Amino acid sequence: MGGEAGEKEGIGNGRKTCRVAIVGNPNCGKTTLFNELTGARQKVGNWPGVTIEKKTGFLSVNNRIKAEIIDLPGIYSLSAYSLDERIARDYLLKEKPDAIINIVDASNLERNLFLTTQLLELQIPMIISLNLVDAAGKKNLKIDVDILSSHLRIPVVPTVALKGQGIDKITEMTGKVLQGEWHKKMARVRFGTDGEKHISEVEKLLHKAAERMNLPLRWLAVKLFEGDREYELLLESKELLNRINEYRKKTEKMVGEDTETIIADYRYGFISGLVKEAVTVTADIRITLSEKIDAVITSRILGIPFFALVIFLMFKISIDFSQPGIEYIDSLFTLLLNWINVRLFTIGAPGWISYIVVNGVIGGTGTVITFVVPIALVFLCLSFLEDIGYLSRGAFVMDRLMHWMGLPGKAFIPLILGFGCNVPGILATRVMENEKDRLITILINPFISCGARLPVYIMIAGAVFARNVGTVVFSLYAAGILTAIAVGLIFRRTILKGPSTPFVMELPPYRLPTLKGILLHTWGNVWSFVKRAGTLIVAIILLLVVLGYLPVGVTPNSKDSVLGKVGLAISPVFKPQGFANWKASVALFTGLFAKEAVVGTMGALYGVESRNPDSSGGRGRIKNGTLKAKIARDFTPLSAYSFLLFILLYSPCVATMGAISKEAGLKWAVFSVLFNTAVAYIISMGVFQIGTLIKALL
Amino acid sequence: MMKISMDRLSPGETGKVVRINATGDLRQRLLAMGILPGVEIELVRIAPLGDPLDFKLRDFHLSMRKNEARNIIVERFNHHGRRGRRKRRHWQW
Repeated sequence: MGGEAGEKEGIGNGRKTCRVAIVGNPNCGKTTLFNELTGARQKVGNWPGVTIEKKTGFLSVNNRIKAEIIDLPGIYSLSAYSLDERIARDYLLKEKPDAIINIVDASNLERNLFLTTQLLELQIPMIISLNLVDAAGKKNLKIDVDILSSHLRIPVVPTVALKGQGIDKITEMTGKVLQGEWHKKMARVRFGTDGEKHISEVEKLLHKAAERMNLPLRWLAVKLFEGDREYELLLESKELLNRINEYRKKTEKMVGEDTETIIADYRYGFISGLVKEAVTVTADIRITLSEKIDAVITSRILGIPFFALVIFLMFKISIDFSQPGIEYIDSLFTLLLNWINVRLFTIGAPGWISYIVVNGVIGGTGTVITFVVPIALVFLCLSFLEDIGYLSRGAFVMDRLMHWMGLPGKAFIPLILGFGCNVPGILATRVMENEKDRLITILINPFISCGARLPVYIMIAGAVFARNVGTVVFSLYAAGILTAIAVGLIFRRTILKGPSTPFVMELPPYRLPTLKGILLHTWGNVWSFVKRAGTLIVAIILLLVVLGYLPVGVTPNSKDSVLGKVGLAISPVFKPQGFANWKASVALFTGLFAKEAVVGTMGALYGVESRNPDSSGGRGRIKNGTLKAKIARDFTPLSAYSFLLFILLYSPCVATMGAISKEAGLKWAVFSVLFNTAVAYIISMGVFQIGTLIKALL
Repeated sequence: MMKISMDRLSPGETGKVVRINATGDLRQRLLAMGILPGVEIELVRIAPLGDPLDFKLRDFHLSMRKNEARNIIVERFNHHGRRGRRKRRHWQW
């Protein structure tokens, strides 16, 4: 004990550091309160082993206490069913924070207090932040905070987190609770005479087990009485479990309901009593403004057009508006590159160092930085839509269509964004709650044909298919969508099996978002992309640059470089696909930098002047006529189509790898590289072979 | 009084929950949301593509697929009953 206390007190001018968890329903203003309490000093990461966001920050409670604030996932209850709930529950019961700030949405009191009744059983000091009291006021609800506080026997502070109201009071009360200045024993929900009788029997049985499992006795007893799967598995003695189940069955027989329902019923009964006393309805409003808005924008006729408009605007903003930004950053980097080149030359650095530094390190960093603009814009849009409450409406409108693909409605936005660029598409899966659904959406995203692949289609199709370029490009887009759907369905039935989670989604009332909240959210995501995806992207680019440069003295990326030799060596592998020429193979390698780099490489390798022969920048301008003729010589329409299909489907580019690795882990990024390449290999082979066969038959 | 599964309410119609047939995850979720015997639930609207459904209960909105709503049995209020008259047809487009 002594050591632990010493550790806790060690940080910062003798102040004690405590941990305070923020717990509450989704959409109750949890994140806003977290932002208000911690300001910009927050850290965004993932909970260990999963892709769910973990946010922590610091709050200076008073001159004696500093608190680490942990924003737990928004949850409706403390069961062990959803991943979010398990994370929150594990944190509260295993890490045992010093206090809980329980956010309760005043405009939706009944349902929000359900979680509170469960938190009461954890025996962790608690404060209620009765948030959105202004919204409750608009609904003509008057809430007596003192009655709530005296019945629950915990401090209740009315807040409007959006406007920063009540934050000081929360801080003050947190200090009081942490210093042990709140002496009341928290209220406890009772589960009826029969229930209580049997639960107390169960408690008697569990004394030892609760101690061993380091869990509050009452909590464990109630959970096992309900038949909580996780705790049943953790219980060592089978006999104990059987005896508990006997009590359970006895109660169920007496009451005529299962214990889960009985417990929930008494919790809601307790809440109803509390609400009846504490809340006065001053006038009955039949239809709220939110409902009027929904009657238009989620309606039968306008629901889909409105959603399409939102998506279109988001696309416009994130992809089109980011172009000038990207070009600006690009030109800045070109300047920087030239400057560094000159500097390196003047200090007499060897050529190979300059080449690798300039193309690998600086070029790689440049690639990462160019993605910052579209990612920031996507997250600005997404945060706005999420905070205002439209995201769940979008899911409501599109769910039917996505359900057919085995995915929830919220998968639609990440997938559609993939048409612009897969990187923000993959990052946008953050809005999805279910882990498996998210993973599938991440993994099928690279098959969606992004904007960077279009120049490649145009160059090659333009060279080979004289008139039907449009049709060819369209068919490639369609092939990408179909592959994404097929792979998604296959994953759902194989490696990511599991029933799709039940779709029970709240449609929260519309709310005005704050600029601060949106900017913080956007900043957190952009920064973690730069930090976590960035390193992988730069590393891979560096590797490819070195391979293209070695051995010393050859023209970079030429037939004689290591990369060229590898291209040459592996080109026979593409015989079944009909493009067994080394230039194509090398282009596939450089296409990993960014898919549009294929254009630059093909240009360089076919010996036509191109502005960017190193291909890492990509957007090279090609003198049209001769290049087209040369490409057309190496490809038949069939082999060209097979090559294009391969480019569409094979390994995602390094930036996308980085995004997958950030969101799902390195393992899945590697999987994606291998799996997608295999898919590309098989599909182009199929198309080429069947095409050849048909041609022969004709 | 007619007992039907909740997905068969018509838009604007309210029912009173009598039984939840779901198990496991879904049952737990429904209970946490306050869908318990005795609670009144209104089907507000159907999504443009026919699924999911937008319900209102305990003063908040919850959307659910028909597949999930099928597990909840409600008692239909008489059409001339308490809420029956207040059909929100005029808000339906």
